[in-house]
Amino acid sequence: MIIMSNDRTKNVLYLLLKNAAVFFISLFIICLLLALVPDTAIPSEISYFERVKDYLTISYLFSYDYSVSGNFLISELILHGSKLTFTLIFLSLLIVLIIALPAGLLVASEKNAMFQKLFAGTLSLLSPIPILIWASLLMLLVFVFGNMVPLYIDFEDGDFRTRMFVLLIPVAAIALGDGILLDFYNKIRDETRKVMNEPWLKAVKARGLPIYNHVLRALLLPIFITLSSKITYLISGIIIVEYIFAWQGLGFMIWRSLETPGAKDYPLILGSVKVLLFTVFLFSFIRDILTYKLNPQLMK
Amino acid sequence: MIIHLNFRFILGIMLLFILIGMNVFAFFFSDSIIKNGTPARPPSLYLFQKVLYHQPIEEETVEDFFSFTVPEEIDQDAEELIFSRNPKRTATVGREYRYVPSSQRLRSKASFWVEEGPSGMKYEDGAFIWTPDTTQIGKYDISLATQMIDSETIRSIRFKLFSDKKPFYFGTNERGNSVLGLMIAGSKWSILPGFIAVLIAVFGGLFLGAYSGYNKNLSSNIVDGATLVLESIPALLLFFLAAVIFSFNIYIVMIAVGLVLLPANINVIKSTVKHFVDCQFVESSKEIGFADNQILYRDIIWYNCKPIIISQIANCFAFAIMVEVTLSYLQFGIQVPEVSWGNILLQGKSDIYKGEYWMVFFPSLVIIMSLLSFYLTGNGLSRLLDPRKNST
Repeated sequence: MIIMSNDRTKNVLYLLLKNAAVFFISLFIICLLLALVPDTAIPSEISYFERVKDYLTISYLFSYDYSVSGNFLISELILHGSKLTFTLIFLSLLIVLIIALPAGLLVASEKNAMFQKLFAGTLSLLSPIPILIWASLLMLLVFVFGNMVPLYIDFEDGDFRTRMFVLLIPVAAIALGDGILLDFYNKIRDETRKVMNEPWLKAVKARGLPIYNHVLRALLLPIFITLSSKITYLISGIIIVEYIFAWQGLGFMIWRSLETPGAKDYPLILGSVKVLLFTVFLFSFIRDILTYKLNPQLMK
Repeated sequence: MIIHLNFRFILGIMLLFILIGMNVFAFFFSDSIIKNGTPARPPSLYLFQKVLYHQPIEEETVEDFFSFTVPEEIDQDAEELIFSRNPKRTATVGREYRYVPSSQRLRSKASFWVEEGPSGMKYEDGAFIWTPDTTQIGKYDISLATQMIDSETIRSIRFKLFSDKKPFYFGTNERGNSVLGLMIAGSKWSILPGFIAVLIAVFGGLFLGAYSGYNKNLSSNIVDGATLVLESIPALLLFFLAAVIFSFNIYIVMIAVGLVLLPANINVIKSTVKHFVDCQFVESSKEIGFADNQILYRDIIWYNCKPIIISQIANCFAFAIMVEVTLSYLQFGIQVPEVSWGNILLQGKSDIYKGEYWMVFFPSLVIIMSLLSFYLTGNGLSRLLDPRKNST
């Protein structure tokens, strides 16, 4: 449902409210589901609705305390976890763009059909491989040829080579898995071809001016739309990779809290989930804003 | 009708048949497919042992009989390396085990003997040979020695040799279960649970997407809103919660998988229906007096969405396999002692540290093969059914 209005502030407000509503409803659903988790540590006289109320209070009113282990404040844990998680997300997106952008631009300029077939064929065969398999195989390769297992614990104490392995291997697994690279490559290639055929770009070319800054500007929105559509898959992939390589990020904390038998750290789960949902909300909101701002035809 | 069959489609069909065969085998012969052998036996093929087996051979040099020596790894760049070829680590009962330590030129300068090994192993005609019998099943510590003709230095190498009744081409795990048998047994979770996800995601997506695309009322807006909410929740989190709430029941988790895939399918069907809903033929059908459902499902969906539905079905099955493997790996899916590919990978993760790679390598290949089978088959079938490609 798109409101076509001359009032830009109204549009922005509408988008903000729409995405915020999605964020709060998602969080509400998570609280409802979390209250269903069987937990022998919770007294039986506490009803389902009381649990839901508690979790909603924790989530919406930011009432976090110490974690179940009692050693750390939940806010500190979430801050530390967010740092690690977003490092992985940012670096994996960087690697995807470093590979997909030049490849897409090169292929779209149709200078080398053989390269296009080879690259596209290889990517389409490798793209169905899930992040879990990439992570396992990369870990195996690094162990066989590098004689080390890239776990996070080695990151802080290791030398430069060790740190590079420990950082790059999980990032490579995320970048290569679940078809993220293929989707970006396809989007960049298709959009570049579309832009290259635009009359205004042909006019720029005819005047002898460089075209790639125009092409890159035109690619910003499609890249961001693809990115925002992939962010939930990225987050799922992060959880897997953090478990495999023992990165103590948000995903690992959610996994450990849910997997631990006995008392589960619900505030930690809710806090971590809130950060991840907020990331999704932010990407969706920025995507919607950019859709209006960068595509002038929609600005009415 | 022009039939367009290509290599990828044929490959996909072949892989799918292999997967279905594994499933059938797993259902009918579940008790007998997992053979038992020596624990942690590497794969029998020498190529896999040579390239990927990480446990080095220990070489010990004794300068004279009175000094203490420390085992050291073989220096591959050293000249005159007597044991220049890696020995095979596996043997099969009734078949001759043969290890030729180096080239003829080097062998002629040295003498060889077995320091430690099973009875019957000897050096003869330029090779260490041994034919294990049925009483010689298990793991042996082998120590082979050599001495140069004009030297007092004795060099020996030590390695472990696994002997079994069967060859175990893909190796065994820590409990001695054949990896091939485990992979076949684990395949039974690859197709059947996926049906539930397909029912919800594809057929639910079809009806909801068609309804939402054809009608512009409050119900279609509710569908759009619900789609937005479902899309924004990270999928793995929903699967974790479904698994924990329903005691790791994979069929309930597949309901969650279907719900997670529903928004994407709804959007695709909705955009296709919206594309056609303003077309001339739809208006003509309405003028003639056909019912809305008839126009929607017969004229729009049946003739234009078949390729989309086929590829969605294939993608759903592949996604269901990925989810089952991932959840089992993260200990939220199929629980031990049931066998699943995810459990095998999880066991293999700890085996990597010991250089035992086969519990990760072969199951990963099988999983990739299964996913590719669905993707390639779905892609090929949807091209086959695309009316634009098959017009005469």
